[in-house]
Amino acid sequence: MREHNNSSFLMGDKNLFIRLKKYKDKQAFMSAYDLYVDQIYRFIFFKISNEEDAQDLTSQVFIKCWVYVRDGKLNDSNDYKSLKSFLYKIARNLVIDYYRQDKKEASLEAIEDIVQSKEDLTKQIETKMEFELVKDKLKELKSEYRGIIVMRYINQMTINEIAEILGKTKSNVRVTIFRALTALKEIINNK
Amino acid sequence: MTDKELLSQLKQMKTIVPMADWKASQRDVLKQQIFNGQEGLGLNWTAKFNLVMGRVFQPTVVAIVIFVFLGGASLASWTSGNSQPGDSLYIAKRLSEKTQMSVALTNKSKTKLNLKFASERIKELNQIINKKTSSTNTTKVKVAKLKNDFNQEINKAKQHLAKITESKTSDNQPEEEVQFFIAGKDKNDQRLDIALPEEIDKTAESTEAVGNKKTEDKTATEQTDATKEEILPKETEAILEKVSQLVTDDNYEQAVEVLGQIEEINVEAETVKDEQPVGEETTAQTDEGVTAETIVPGETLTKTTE
Repeated sequence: MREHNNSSFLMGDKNLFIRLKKYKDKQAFMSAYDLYVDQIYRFIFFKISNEEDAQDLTSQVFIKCWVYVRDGKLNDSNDYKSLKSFLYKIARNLVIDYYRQDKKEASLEAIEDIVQSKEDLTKQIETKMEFELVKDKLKELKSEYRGIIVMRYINQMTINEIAEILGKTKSNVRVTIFRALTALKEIINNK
Repeated sequence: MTDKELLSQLKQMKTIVPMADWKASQRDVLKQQIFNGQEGLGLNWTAKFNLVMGRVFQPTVVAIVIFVFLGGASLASWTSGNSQPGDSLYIAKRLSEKTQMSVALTNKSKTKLNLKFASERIKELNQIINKKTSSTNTTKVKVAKLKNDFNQEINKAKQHLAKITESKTSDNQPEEEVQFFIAGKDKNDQRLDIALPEEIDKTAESTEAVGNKKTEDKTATEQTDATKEEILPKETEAILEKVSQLVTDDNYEQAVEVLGQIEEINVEAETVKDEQPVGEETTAQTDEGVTAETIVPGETLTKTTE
């Protein structure tokens, strides 16, 4: 099922990518926005843990992408195999700039509606509480691990796609995913 | 929690999506930016930049071109000018601010924008506090966020002021390079460098250098202006420190008043410039000033909307 979904994505992505590169098709760009805005937002949101800043950065991802398309830069390089990986790369760079600007590592700014009191954690945890718990604890992971978990398990990207975005080998990505999950489990179980 | 449960919870986080109204408004603004920017005048940044920097300045043409290009942002700004955090148009307002900043060419214009936006954050803060319809906790969170945004604008203004001071003290240095959508350029990070092509930046620097060469032959006039502008950043910085302290002390109304003092200083400096004898030297500087002012649409729109 995942492969089928990814194939569909790939076809849609491939088609859009070609139309953007060849024709700078504005409609194609808006379709790309509709296709990827949710997952790009999610990726950034889990990285910086701030809703409004995540919205701002998401906007900037698509603006930057359009500037690149408009200036014909997509055609000049074979580094970008898909529109998706290109968007994620922009998003990663913006998050890095965001950290540098604010001179802080992974923002742990509490978001009021998802902070849970410690007393709840000792009781039998309902599904929603577990969800909030994992969401909360995810923020305590280091940025690299958080990003890879979001890409793999939340945005359901393939190992290939993640490897391309991160510039790593597939085996490297698998190892990092394993370590990230292990770290997350430890944080959750040490609540 | 078992592995299976953990993975299941992670999968469920796919339900986290941006707010629907934000997504829709952002889409509209983006669409306006893209479609307005490409139709009619056949604009692109390369051509427009060369038009601005490569020859005798034509402020009227530049003004029209920039104004039409930013029509989408302007519209969003005009319609969302009074919106507050939580309103559906607030996102469009903030996006419009980012667009204005991204097209500001000089540090001076950027500083002015930062101060304008800082002032906006304080006003929004006041509105939130006086609104009293939200819960106390929600208000606290919003106030904290606005304070943080305000401090960010002030810090950015200080950074730009520092650059102004730096550029004034170094010899024969043109104004800092124009920034559009610049990602960091540290290639050791293996990051995607999607700044505009270097040739555009080099063109900007070379043509600015040519333009500035005319002004290098000045003597008393330029020195006087330089002295005036040197004073500006120092005075402004002191005022910014004062404003930051007032906000920290929750004295928002006074903070807005003090911010206004910077505007008065700038107006005074511009007035002094205008009173200089008319000649080739001042014409070149005035053109640069006009161009910089023209390219920043914010003030014009602000006056319209306020």
